[in-house]
Amino acid sequence: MATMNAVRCPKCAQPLPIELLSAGGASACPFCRAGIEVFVFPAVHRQIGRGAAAESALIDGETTCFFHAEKKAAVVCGGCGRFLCALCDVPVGGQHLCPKCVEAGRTKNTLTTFENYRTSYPSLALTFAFLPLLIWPVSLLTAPAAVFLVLFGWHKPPSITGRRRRGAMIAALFMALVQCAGWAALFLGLFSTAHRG
Amino acid sequence: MADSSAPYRKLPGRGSGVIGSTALWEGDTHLLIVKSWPSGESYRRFFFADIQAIILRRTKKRMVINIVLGCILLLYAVPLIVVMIQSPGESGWLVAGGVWAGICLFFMCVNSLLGPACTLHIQTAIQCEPLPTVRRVRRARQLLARVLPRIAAAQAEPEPAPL
Repeated sequence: MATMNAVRCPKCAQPLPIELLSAGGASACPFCRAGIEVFVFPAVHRQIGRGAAAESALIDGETTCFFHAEKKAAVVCGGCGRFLCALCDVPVGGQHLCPKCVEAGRTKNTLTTFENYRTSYPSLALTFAFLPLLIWPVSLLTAPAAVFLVLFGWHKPPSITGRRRRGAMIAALFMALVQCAGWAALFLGLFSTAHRG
Repeated sequence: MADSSAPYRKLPGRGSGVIGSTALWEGDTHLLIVKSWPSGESYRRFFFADIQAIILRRTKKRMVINIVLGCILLLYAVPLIVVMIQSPGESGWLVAGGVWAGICLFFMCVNSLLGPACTLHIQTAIQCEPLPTVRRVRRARQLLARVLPRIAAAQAEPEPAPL
């Protein structure tokens, strides 16, 4: 019989009984009485074990792994098309890739599955452009910084979700340029006053 | 090389913090939690094939919020009634107290209309993570209606055929 991983109550962390999981619908945790509703999927039966072992090629002319000539090929790499044994097969987001493609994707940032942080230039520019609304003297530094961020980040990759937020960039640029113009007018005024004096 | 990240679709719900926000997106093979800060975004993925269970837990947040707001409402309403009885001509106090009591009442109504509160947890083989974008049962149901079929379909798919 296949063993099942425990599904735990999020409140008391006690493993929920199988009868409760199979019943479906709203019920209460028998330990802490918290009202819960559990949706269980087949993955709950999957055990984490050792990775697949590559099979040795027994017949001459049998397709073998690109990286291990003595191992039988199991899948084709979704990136480069090389034959891979079970050992070299790296399942990534529904694809089967070879270690070389995974490494290349990670270093060149073409494989976004491994990306867990991305700088958001629109948010940064907006912060720098609107921060002086709280402390206006800092706009002497933040306004040029916001202009720089807009220009530098204009062609940078957008959010991983695809949102480009050009509107935010334009709003930040406008706000920053207004502040720069204000500072320029202030300095010009001070200069002309000092010159006349 | 083919990129596995297909376009994402926004899922119902949004979490907000002091300086950042959280949103949940649906990809072709996974759910993506995006935490946004002024400096950037961080990503967490939950692959449909790895999700073992989704647990919806009802909480008492709605009741707690209503009790707190009710207490604040009483703090304004009682002195207001006292002022109204003792000196009916004091309109300034009445307006100030009435506005604050009205604000509390408004938020109580909104909180009640939003429905019962809950937390939604996703369990995989290595973690049980709360979804910060869902706080109400109604929103959780909308989210589950979209996500449950995707998970079921992903876990029903057979392994790729060997060569």
